[in-house]
Amino acid sequence: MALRCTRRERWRVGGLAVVAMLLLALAPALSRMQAAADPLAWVQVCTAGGLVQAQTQPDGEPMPNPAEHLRLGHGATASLQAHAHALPTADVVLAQPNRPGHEPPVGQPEAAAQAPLWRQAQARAPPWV
Amino acid sequence: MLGCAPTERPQSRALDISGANYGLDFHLWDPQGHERSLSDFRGKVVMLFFGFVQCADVCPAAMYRGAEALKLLGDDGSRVQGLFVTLDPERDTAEIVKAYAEVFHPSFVGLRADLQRTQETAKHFKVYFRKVPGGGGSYSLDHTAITYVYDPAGRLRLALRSEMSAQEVANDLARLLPAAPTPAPVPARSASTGVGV
Repeated sequence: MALRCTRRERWRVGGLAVVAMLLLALAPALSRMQAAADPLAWVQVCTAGGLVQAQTQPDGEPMPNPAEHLRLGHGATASLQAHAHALPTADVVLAQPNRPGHEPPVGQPEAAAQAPLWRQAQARAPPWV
Repeated sequence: MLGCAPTERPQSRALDISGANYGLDFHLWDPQGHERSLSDFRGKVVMLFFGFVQCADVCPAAMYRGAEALKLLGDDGSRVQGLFVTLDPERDTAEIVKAYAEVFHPSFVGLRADLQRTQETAKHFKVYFRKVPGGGGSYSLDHTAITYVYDPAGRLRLALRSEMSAQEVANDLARLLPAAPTPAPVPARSASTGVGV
């Protein structure tokens, strides 16, 4: 059974398709315009589960929808904390006497980054054609 | 051809928020009990950190990066003021905030207020924070991980992203210092020690 479309319907569908294509083409520009209007429309939020990129409301509050958030992972110093929920309170830490020879270093120590196991491996050659 | 000419000015990854209508001023207390506002630091480039002492993720990295940037600036580092505002005044006493800020750089100043003033200040700076209960009655804070930078005239200029390096921060600070040369790039660190803060 052939599907019949009137000329008017074809124009309507064609018009919708053109509008859709225009919106798709303009989406990056619209996104940049929105970002230029409010540079903090997306902010990084430090959470117990790691750093997330969150879309914010005008007052700076992140959007409640977790789907709007992008997980960025933990910062370098978080490895010092392991899986503890929070460090012991600073007053407890500061009250601890330093044992001789165990004085804390001045400043924040850098977390030692683990070198990957394959660091000694040679780079792969491109596939031979 | 003109469009292909290399620019001497390095690209910044910081957010340019010049002209923002928030973060205009604060009224907080330093560890000595003096009320401080942004105008007290007029003439210096100000780096403003919001965080809490027990943060093990972004706060120490940002503070350490700020201190490293000051070192990279050399003598001009004395024209930059680092300020740490605690979002956890219930646990971070004046003494703790002072010790925490100064362990990163002796010139850094820790600021605090009561919880209500802290909430008002955070709202004015579009800084979000929320308590996250943990085990044993402890808690952590989710908070916005941004460092604000003010120029010597006290105008809000930049929001530093957490992934920026100390060298990038130093470059941005140098651009805000009048007649300050861009610091020489530091030698690239090896992959095993690069923290990227």
